Amino acid sequence: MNERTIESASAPSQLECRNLGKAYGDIQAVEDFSLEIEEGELFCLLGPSGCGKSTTLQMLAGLEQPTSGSVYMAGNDVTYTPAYDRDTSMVFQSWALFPQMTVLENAAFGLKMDGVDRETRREKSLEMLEMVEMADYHDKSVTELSGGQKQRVALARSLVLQPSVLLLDEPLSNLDKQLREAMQIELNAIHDELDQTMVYVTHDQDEAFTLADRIGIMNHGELVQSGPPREVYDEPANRFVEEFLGDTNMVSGELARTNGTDCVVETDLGSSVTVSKAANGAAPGDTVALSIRPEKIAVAEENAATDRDGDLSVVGEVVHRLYRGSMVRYFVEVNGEEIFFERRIGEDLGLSPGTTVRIEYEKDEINAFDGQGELI
Amino acid sequence: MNGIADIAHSIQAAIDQRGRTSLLLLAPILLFKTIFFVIPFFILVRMSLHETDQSGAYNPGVTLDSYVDILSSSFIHGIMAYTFRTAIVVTIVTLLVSIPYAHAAWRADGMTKNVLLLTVVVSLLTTLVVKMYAWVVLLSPIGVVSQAVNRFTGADQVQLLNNEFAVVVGIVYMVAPYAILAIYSVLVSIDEDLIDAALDLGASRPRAFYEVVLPNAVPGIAVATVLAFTWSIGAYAAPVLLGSSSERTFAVQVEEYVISQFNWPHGAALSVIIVVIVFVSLLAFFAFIGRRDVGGEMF
Repeated sequence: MNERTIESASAPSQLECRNLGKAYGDIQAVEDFSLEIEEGELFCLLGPSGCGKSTTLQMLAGLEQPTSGSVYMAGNDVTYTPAYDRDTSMVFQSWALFPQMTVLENAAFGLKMDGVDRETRREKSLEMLEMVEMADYHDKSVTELSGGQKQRVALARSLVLQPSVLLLDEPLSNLDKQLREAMQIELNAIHDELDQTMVYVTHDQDEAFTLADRIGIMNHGELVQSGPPREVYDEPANRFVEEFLGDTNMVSGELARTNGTDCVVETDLGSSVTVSKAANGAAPGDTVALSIRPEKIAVAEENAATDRDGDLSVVGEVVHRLYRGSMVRYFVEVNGEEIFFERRIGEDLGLSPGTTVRIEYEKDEINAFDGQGELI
Repeated sequence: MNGIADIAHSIQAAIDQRGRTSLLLLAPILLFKTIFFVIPFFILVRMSLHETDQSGAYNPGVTLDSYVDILSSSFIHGIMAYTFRTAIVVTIVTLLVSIPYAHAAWRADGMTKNVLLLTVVVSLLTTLVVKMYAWVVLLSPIGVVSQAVNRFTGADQVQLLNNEFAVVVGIVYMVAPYAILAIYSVLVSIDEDLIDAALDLGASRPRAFYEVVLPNAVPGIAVATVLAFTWSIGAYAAPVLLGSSSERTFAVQVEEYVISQFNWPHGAALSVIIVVIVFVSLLAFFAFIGRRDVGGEMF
């Protein structure tokens, strides 16, 4: 009781989860999930398939009942409030448009359930369809629409209810890349225009980075880390986050010595590197893993003078060159380990398989993880 | 959903599109239908046009006498009225039983679902006559059902057998498994997200059923309706075994003409009339279903 009083001194969050959990028999789908979302925030819940992110969203919508913990909206406990009494609205991955209804009828469905009169619901739904550029199609059956159009209708159907929180469950995952990127920009615009609080579930890290004010990363039913996009990218809580947020080279090594502010790591690349981090509990002799992001690797000639004190600087042979659309990915074999880095396709490095190069990496850019995968 | 027209249209489209391949694929079923359905039906029509004969099954010839006799007989009118009334009652009862049952089987999971579905299928494995005699046993004055009703109502002796009630129970019991499976098969094809979406948009569970599930289940319900209706129009076993002399349907009368009166043209003519009536009823039904929107009106 006291706790509650203290907290209500500041305005309660738009949405808050406290130790939310969902178990299906012996399987714990979501565990100890706590999060606060502020009004107007676009929060992306990111994680691999089966990590529990969709289940979490269903619990926020009231479509699933949590087995532990609670959900608050604007300070009110809504944990067991059924979906139809809850001021949230969901955009489904499959869009879930009612096939026997027209575009306008779909958009007006929620208003009808709320008992809004015919004229008003027609007017409001048309207005919202206008906003998502689907007003011209209002008489069409939704079965005649393309994926992108269905997506817009689903969005309008939810937005027209002006929900306190809009929940989106991978709404763009069924669209092709181009359309997806265009929709991301539109979603951002809609978010800004309506100042709509949104919780957006996705497994696509690019999408999360494009959209989110804040990202929460889930794994095995738990919220591993949450924070602004840049922060989680630069300071991942653990190795899982680092690897999930983008392709990276994981190089293992042994912690040689530490002086409280820096750690020196003997890598399997045959060269040591100084990591500007306190050892954080790791002791000399421990196995550590270093993450070397491919976009931050510098390339020099084999015999280039190295004045990069403490940085990683190793020589290796280019073994593969992979064209990946706008990027070229080079694989370099260093002391039996393979390291890859990327360059834009126009930026010709003149590197063909067989060339020997020196690759360098700044020590400040390195994230190191201990044997448990925790960030050092 | 214009029934026959749609089917004809899609067959035409299939032929246009894939030409001889689809014709070839259709050939076995067309051959089967021709030999076992179309040709016999023409024989039946031919028979209905023969003259009746006091000493034999029929006299060769061409006359509409049988039709005139049947259509002008008030006795036959009574049978028609009875048959139609029974068919409509059976159809309504079948739907009232099948829709909730199919819905329950659809929403249930694990063991409950299996039991619900298995129960339906198992009842299909028993032959018709056995099923009807089972009801005779259950509904007879010393049967379990009658005894239970006596006990609960305090009635002296309730009459459950050899009346219209028993006939309706018997036909519903025959048709319900087919109706349930027809509705169930459509329900399982409904995207469950649709129900979640309706709930999420503020519909209570009953409202979500009415607005979303029911309209999407219409094709299955239509099939169930057609099955129940056509089956009870042609019902023979249930009226004979569970009814009395006043539960007389078309089929019972056809049997009377053909076997007892040895009047084949009358039997054939009544059969043709039944076929035509059923056909017209179905067309009317499909026209009705096609025009009508199920679920709430939006605007």
